[in-house]
Amino acid sequence: MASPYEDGGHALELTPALMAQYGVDKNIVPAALDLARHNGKLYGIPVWVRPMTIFYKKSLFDKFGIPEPKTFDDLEQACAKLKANGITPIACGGKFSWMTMRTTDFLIEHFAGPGLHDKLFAMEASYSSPEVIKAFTKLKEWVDKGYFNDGFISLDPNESLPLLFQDKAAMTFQGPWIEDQNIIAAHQDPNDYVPIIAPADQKPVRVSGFQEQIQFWSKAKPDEQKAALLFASFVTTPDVAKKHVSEFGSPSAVVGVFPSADHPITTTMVKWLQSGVQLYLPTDQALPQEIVNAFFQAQDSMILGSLTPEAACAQIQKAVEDYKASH
Amino acid sequence: MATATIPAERISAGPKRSPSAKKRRDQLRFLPWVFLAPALVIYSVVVVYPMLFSAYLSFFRWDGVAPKKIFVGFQNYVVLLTHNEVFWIALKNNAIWLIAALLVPTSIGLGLALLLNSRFRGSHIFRSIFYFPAVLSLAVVGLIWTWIYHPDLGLANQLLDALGFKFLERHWLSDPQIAIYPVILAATWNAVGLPMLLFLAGLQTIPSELHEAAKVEGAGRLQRFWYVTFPLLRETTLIVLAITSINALKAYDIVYAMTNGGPANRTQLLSTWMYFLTYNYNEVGLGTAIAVVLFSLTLIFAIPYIRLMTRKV
Repeated sequence: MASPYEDGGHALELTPALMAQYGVDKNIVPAALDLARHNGKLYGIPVWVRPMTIFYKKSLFDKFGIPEPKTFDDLEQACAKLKANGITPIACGGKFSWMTMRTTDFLIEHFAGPGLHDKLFAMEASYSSPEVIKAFTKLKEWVDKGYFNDGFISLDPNESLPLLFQDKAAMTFQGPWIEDQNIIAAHQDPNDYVPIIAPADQKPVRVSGFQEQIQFWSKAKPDEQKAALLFASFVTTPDVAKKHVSEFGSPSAVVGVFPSADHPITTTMVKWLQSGVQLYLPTDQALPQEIVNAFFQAQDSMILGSLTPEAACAQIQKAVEDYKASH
Repeated sequence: MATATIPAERISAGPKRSPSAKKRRDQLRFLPWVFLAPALVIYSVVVVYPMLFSAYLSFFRWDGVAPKKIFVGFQNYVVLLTHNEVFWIALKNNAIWLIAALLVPTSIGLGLALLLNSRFRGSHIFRSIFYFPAVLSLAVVGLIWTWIYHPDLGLANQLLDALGFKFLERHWLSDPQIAIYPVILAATWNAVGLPMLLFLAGLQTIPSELHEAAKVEGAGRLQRFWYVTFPLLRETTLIVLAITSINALKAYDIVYAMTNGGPANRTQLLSTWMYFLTYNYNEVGLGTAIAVVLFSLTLIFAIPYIRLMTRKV
């Protein structure tokens, strides 16, 4: 999302020399640095990493004897069993299109694999590839089977969560922020909402995610730039980050920093990151916004039945080609 | 007590115009401009200049932050008219919104004003109740109605179910064929208050003698409304229609709050699509081109309104 600022020369590039000088190379987890790079260059110091994945409600899964999904087949079987028992498998708020996109991205990761998925983001592969069409077809199949809540396409993500709280839905595709903002705030037990590595059945193991970073204005005065770099370097020092993790938020991008014990969701996600689980960017952060617009339009139109999966993929690919032709 | 006497020649010929008085009057002629200057400068900087700059940007391809803007002439307008499907959806939605706004809240507002114009016990309370939604911001109205339309937890479907009209239940905001209408209904709830208030003010300026005279002549209720009330509300009606039209074209926040322009952009208005293209999708040229189109459409209603409001009596 920051790419226009980086391409426009507004953000300071953190060269390897600057990274070493300010300890960025040793203090920040590699997955966060990988996500932050744009065209191979780093333009900021990552502060948080936000993985996005499937959460399931443990008490509901236990009630119906459904095991935690480890594979894509497990996930589909869980959806079928939940639906058969009158529970909406996946609570989704698709009003802004990006929450639906998380499922679409997961299905692309499953059918296309990390290699092709990354090539799509680099605009080196076609969205009309059979693998992507399969992913869109599967999404439509899940919609038609009623695996998402009624009218999800126009619901705010926050309007979909009460369905989980009221045992009307059993899973959702979310990030670690719901632990504080929604689950604890609604006096729910965070231990009942378990994040799992969304089972794409691919190697390397990846989940969707993004990082948030501190960037520096390239045209600021040198002493102001230096002060900003020193501040960012200070707050991403492991000792400082550990001391202030509860105020500063998590999952931290800093090596060895874990959230407090009363945050089981975030703790699980930090363990993934520190143990080498990789992240892929969500489509709306990986592609230029002009193409994201076409992606959302095609995805939602297909869900509403006004486009076939093939036509939806062709529409996205056309936007990619138009973008490449005009840039 | 001393009295001032006016010479007869000054009464017949008016005040004498001495050269110094003329000079003074010439100086005073510029005085209003001096007083207006600060407001004019601020208005020019924060309103006129951004408007002209927006129109200028509509001739470029630009992402909003890149150092270079690429001049493309009228291409953004051509793209909008020939390639941008959502622009036409938004234009159609604006037309539906405008027609609905001219017919529904104005008629309800007039009806309520007629009812509340008669003095009865508690009429002030009813005026406040009916005006209350107009006090709320459209973003708040949007949030309230979004929950009312919630497919599973919302009042609308649960009420229909309880009343035995389950077959009428809908996914109100996610059905692309109808989604714009529930949004218009929510906006109508908010929009009734202003016309009601304006009509009420207009009704109270009509002398009761006219109604009494018409009554004596044997005119019924409907005839009195048609031949006495309505003609005397002409000016108020024009103001109400002009304000309603301008507000309808300006509608933005309620769509943003309720549907975010979806599903699949089916509830976009020109204003929201302008915003999305400019700020979400980095298409500043296309977004500002929509701004120019929207501004031109608004002028159709704004010019007669401004002329009416500034007309010398």
